Amino acid sequence: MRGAPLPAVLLLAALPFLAFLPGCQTNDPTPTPAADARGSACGNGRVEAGEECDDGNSSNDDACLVSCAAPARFVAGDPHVHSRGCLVAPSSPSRLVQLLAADGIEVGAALVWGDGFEPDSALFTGADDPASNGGRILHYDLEVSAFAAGNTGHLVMLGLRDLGFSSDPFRSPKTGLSLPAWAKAQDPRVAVGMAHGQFWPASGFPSPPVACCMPWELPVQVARGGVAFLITERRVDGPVVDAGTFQLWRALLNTGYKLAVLGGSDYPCINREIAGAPRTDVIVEGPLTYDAWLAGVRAGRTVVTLDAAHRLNMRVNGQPLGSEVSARAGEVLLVSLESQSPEPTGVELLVNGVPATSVVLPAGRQVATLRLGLAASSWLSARSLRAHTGATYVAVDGRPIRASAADACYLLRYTDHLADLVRGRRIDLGEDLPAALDAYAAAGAEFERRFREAGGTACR
Amino acid sequence: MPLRRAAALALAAGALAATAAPQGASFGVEHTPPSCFLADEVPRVVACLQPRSARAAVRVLFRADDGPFYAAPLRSDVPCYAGVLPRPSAAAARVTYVFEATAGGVTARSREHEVPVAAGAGTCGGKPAAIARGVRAEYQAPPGAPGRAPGFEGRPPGAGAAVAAAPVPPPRAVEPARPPVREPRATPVPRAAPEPARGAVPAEARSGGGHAVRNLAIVAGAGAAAGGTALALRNGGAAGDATPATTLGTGLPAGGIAGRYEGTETVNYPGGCTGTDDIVLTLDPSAGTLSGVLSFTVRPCACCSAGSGANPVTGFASGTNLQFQTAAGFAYAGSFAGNRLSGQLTGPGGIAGTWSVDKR
Repeated sequence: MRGAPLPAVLLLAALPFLAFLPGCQTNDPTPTPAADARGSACGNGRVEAGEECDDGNSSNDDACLVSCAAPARFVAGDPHVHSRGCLVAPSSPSRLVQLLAADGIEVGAALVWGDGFEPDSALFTGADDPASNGGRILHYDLEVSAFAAGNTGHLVMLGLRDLGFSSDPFRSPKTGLSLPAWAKAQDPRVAVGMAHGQFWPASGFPSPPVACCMPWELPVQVARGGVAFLITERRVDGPVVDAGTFQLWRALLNTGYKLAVLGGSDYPCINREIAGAPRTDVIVEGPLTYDAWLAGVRAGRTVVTLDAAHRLNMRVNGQPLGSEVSARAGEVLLVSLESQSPEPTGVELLVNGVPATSVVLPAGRQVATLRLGLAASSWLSARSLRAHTGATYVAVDGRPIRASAADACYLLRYTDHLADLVRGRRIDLGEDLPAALDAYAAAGAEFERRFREAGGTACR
Repeated sequence: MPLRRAAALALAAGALAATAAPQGASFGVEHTPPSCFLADEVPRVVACLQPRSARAAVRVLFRADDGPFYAAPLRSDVPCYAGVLPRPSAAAARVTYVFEATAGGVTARSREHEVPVAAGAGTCGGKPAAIARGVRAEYQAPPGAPGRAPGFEGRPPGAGAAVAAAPVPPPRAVEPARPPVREPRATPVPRAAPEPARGAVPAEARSGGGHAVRNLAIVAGAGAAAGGTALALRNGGAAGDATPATTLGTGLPAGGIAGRYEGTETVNYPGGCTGTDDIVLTLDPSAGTLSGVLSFTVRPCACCSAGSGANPVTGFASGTNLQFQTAAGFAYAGSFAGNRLSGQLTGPGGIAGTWSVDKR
């Protein structure tokens, strides 16, 4: 940061200090000059305990932020593009690399799917495509779309060694419930998620007929531990994470599940251009490889963004996105919001999906550190007009997150709703119906258990 | 107040005056007592530091009649400090109290006040103490004393096992007939403090000017180490002045406001938890406005884990005073005394505190 004046609207709304511990005191509350300070001081130019760096200057445009953290290394990626489909002329791997590079995207997951399955399968090798170059990676993987199992939602499976999830994928299976286990058995690097969160309604439950791509089984898959992320492909005309995706994501996180949120283009289907579509910034450690990028996705170190100019990061007590942070009730948490924007930008801090406070940061690369007290286990996220971070999970006194009995009830009722749909053949699962109903019932039982743990008594 | 006690305090004060004690504090405590405390009402008490820009941890030591002294904290209530006492019972004849302010190892105390307890405003004989409604006093008992202060109604929050397990030291200031502590050296040297910039201490300070200390009893705490580049505790005061004078540098720092400052801040969180941060403040003045960065490192405390953060700041300076706010919603007000910059802070959700930094 270098001396840019701040807007007058800088002050925060009330910060939710909830139930601070009464009567706790340090022994010496008297301010003293640094000469007799007993602790380390971020900004003094010496790297001390708890600091990743300390260069003693007031600039964020170098290798050390003023909060004494090293800037996160974000890799822009699109986890959902295709070479073929949707009545558009095929894009060769080199063309895809070119399109992604033109929009500053370093990693692209080119997903083989049912449309053009045979020719695209030939591009799948389990390794980076040879067209990858200049530090940009194109890697072919799988979307369960336009296959029979796609009727219950489009699973996206990244890091596969093999595409053969079925001997007759266009007929069987008719539910994707078994596929995450099949995928993850191939390699520990595999990350499984589901696409098209934007088709979920912002309120109520989805019902057939739907135009496309509803992630019907996502709550069940999450309850089974099958999926790690949800992708939105909605374009710019609203929040970065659209209302439907947010509703589903929030309900699951408020019920105590972990789920990363990603942005993708689904080029050339949902979006005919990559530019302007959602994308995903992933915090990557070490040299950029597809495996390192997948590790960031699996860990939930993701931010949905709309372009390369706006970036957003959040650390809680110095821990990266996706972490689980332990705290005591009322303990002061340090929440650092790191933004990069060509213009002053407002950033909201969400606690359990609800805006808790906001800051306005000057243009450029900036850091603002908030102090937050939590009375109960919660998840935190941050969003601006151009970026929305994934979650960090705060376990207060070791307790799981049970932030909303209403959201747990919503999921419980949804599993009943889904069961009704498949029983009525409005979603046809054929011979997979009994197994699916069992899985839905098991998920519902888990949602009900969590509903009661969240303080719910009657879910109707 | 027993005459013996009054005599003892007077004796202590007299010892200070008579010997022109070599130690002093850079601040004093001011307070105007009410005519009475109303029985069964929670009295609000206010004390101000002199100079008003001084920041300290402030508490009031109080008792009813001849009971033991208890201690209640005061919180920053810009530009002074405020707190509440427990409700004196109608059976109590009077309440005796003294304010105690501590900063940088130096403690200043107010005059001891003895105020009668009145059954109602009609029998007060003047202006009664302000009443605080809807609050209860928090206070600590000396070792061996009951958790509830005799002569007062109600129970302090947390009284009982917690208080008994962690009794506070008895209020030193009101121990009878103890002469003020005299430090072996007249000018404490800040530990590990860099040499003060020559220009940092204005001529008036070097020549013995500064703020007169107005309170009666002043005790320099052992190991006083409120060092800073511009701090110079010294003998002082005009001849015949009963109070020693202390000079802190005055005016703006040498080289102007721009630069880097290091120090600490005390943050009082809602619920009574207090934490300390080490802070580094970089200020960049331009055309009457200030911008910069405040980096901080939180020391572990009962409600904090160690960690660091930072915020951009913006504000303005006027004369030796300045104000700035951080992107996280904290507001800082302070004033320069040479290279020392100190003041108060407030934050979202009822956070309050004090801060003090020295220019590096």
